[in-house]
Amino acid sequence: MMKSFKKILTALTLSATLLAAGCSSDSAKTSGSSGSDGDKKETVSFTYWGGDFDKKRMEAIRTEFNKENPDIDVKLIQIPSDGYDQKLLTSMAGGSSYDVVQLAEAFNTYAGKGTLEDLTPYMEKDGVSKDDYFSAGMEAYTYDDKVMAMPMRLGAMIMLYNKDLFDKNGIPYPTDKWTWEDFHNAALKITNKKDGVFGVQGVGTWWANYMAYVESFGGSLMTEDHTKFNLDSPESIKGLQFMQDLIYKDKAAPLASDIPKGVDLWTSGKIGMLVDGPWHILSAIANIKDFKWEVAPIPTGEKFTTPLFSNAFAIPKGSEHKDAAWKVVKFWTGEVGQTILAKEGGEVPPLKSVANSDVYLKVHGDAVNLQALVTSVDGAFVPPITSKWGEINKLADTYLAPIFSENADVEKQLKDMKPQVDKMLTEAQQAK
Amino acid sequence: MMAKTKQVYSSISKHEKRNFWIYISPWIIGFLAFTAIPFFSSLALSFMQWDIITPPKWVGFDNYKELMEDKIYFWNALRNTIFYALVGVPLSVTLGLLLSIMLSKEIKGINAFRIIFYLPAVFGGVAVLMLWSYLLYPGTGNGDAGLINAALGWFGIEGPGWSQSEFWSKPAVILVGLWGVGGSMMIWLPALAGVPKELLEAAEIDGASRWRKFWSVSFPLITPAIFFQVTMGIIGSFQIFMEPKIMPGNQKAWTDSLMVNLFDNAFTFYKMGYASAIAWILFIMIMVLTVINLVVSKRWVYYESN
Repeated sequence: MMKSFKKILTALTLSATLLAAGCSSDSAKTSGSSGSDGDKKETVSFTYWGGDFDKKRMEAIRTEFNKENPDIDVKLIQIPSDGYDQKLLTSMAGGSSYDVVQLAEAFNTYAGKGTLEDLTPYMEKDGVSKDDYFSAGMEAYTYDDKVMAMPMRLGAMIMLYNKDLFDKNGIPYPTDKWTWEDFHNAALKITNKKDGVFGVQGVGTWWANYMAYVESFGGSLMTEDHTKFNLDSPESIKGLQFMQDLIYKDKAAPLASDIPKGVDLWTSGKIGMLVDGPWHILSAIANIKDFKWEVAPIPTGEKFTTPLFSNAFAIPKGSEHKDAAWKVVKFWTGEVGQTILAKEGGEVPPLKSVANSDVYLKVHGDAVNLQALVTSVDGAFVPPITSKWGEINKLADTYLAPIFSENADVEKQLKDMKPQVDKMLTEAQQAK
Repeated sequence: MMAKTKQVYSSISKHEKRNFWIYISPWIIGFLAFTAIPFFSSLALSFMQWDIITPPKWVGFDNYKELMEDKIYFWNALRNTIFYALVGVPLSVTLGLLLSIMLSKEIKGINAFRIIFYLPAVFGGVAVLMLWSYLLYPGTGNGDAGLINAALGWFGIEGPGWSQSEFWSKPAVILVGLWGVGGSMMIWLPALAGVPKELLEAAEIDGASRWRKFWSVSFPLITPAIFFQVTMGIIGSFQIFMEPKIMPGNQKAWTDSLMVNLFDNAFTFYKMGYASAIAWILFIMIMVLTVINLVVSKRWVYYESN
């Protein structure tokens, strides 16, 4: 225990010293390296998160980039996903040593603090049009009407379904026109307690989980201007109630304690419909051998919408190689970079032309209906991320968990939750 | 003559002085960089608002005020932490002592037993906690249960829900900590060995029972070790972090400790000032408890020197 305590204190000082260093070294900064005067190679340092898979992609794109831009040397810096936010934060606090950074949920915090370069002028200069990209993807990285990062990979909550279980129960496969009522009926039919089979999985307190239902039912976590709690609106309550009923009334979705530790009910064929992120597609291709499955958009309620997942590349204001950095961002999020991403057949390329081409849609042949994912991204909503996102998520976890794991009264939980979230939202507004 | 000796002496001393500072510098630098500076900067930070990106802003006692009003996280975490200390410390001290008494017997192969019971203290950390969360998995009983509940099931006992139940999630955290109780042998065994054999034999001749021998002879003589274990145990349980972080209850509020709360604020929400305030409250509480412990110890701890 002592150790972790010390670690935290150490981290505290380290960041303190980094901050101090950042403040004092602004003028003396030599940053990057332009090599000798003879060869005019400019170095762009580029940091991203992920594992081997991501490394392979990034290096493949760099190879193509080097062919067109021999005068720019891209230094790729891979950071494991787990420590990425902390690492980036300390480096940004120290005046940032990176020229291009990958961002997702932390975008609003950085943009709000004015630490990111406005990319709009660069886009105008080079004729990069917002309209070529999926609108939700651009919206997620626009702050005060300025584009401050270019989206790299998109995804959305989708529904994977076990075709064998649909066939067995004589239910027609889900379509784009499916409503939550169709979903509910199918869930009831598929659920079979004796075999340990559940109709649905994906009912929980993770933001994308509950927002998928709530937004589709016409509700939302907060009002559109991000100033007030809205999860207690009648529409939101309807969504949450629908989720709770799936667990307690219909017994069609498993409780946490119904899922044996270390067992994936979905890949073992015990789940009819899985409402979750697009990463399940590649995992299903690799792991599911015993049954047939397919992908569909989530059902439609008041409207069709689903939470967007995304990440993007931005240029910190502290970069001293902004023009070269823009070339890098443009290339990675442009056609060549996106095509390399498309060939993985996982996440959706933000560039509409690439996403809608056969390069992406047919990458798995006819085995997987990637069109469902593209449709989902096209209709997706941007999660309401404020600078208090982490804290609001923890509140949601605290107050929504009893609804899904103890059958607590939905309205009562929301009544208790409201003042807490409102307080956070007010603080977020004041911090602006 | 005098002058020469003095000169030689002073040059040696200069040389030695320099060497002294060179040799000791790693520790001084280490102490400054990793203890003293963090210590004082966290005190300063606890009066500031700092999100790492923007410069810190002085807010006076606001962080502390906010903490006192934070019923859902801070007070809840404090309650949980006190539970860990109140229940965990007596259990681990008693169990550690009982185990060590058994392992202090001079029987054949005792060293093998000592090694076996000491081993958990060697393997520690996150990997073991992950294993424990598998072992303690509640399950529904029909083959899905964790190993411990499955084993209980053989005897017709329906195992509790452990981390899935509000009542059992905290005991589960303590139970996992008790697994490493053999580590305290390092303190107990020498203390028990230090009890003079003559005294025990004399008591035996006087017809004292086993219990009497322990209570009237051994116990008073090992009170310093007990005092040490209780003090360290309280400090340790106030800083409990890994167990509730790695195997939290189904609702984290059931198990979150002050350190988990601190970690969340610092590295999830980037509220460094607020987190520092928690660290200082924790520090003050541990300090006060330790002082109380020291004062009370005068009444029951026996040192041979007095």
